[in-house]
Amino acid sequence: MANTLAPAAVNHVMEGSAKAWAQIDGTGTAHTDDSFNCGSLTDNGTGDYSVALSNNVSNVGNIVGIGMEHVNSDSCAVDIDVSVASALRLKSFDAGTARDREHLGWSCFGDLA
Amino acid sequence: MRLIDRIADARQRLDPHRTEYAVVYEDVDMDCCAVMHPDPHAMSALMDGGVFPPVWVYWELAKDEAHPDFKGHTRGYLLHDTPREGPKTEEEALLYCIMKDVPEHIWRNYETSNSVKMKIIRREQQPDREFRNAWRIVA
Repeated sequence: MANTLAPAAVNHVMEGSAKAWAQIDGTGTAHTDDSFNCGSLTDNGTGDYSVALSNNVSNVGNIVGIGMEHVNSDSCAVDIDVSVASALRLKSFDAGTARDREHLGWSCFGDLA
Repeated sequence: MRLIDRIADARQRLDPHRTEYAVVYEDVDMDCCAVMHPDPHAMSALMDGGVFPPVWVYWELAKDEAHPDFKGHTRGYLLHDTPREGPKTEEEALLYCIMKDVPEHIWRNYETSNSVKMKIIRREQQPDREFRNAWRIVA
């Protein structure tokens, strides 16, 4: 009897895996500490980074998870300023003011082009 | 093999190549210079060859994304099925990254335009953030 469960399981894993991710160090000379499916990192200004993908995602409806280090302040925030199928732009803030982060990570889930 | 599989395979096989170069560019509507750093894994894959499609594939997909009725990519096969680029020198790989990830009007016109500027610099030439936010490229 043919095993019909294995392909479904593989698809499940593939569809649930991050299609791109990176850990960014935005201090000093901004760079990615590690990454997957990223073509480049652009430093647009304080706390403002763009990441171009190597394999585009299928559309702008993909899910992006982001996080950053906690610093000693009243509030910290990071948001996705622009997200298109070929790149995303992240901005990090500290008490409402743009601020560079040593540890800023994101991952992208969804379908690839 | 799909592009994402080639990227994953290259990432397993190759050590990342952190180039010493970065690309600085600006336009009249930018608050300060942008600095583009090629990804070390992308650089090693480009230099090894056989992973990335020709850069015009990305331009075609960018045209699709720019269309007002864009809902999702329908020409992703261009990424996967177009004959792949061969091995590149570090300089050629950097130029590929520029033509792929820097806005086209920047790299296509920077030598002739008065308002658009772009330079390839060594990473250590990049000034501190305090100065970078007010940094403009001197022609």
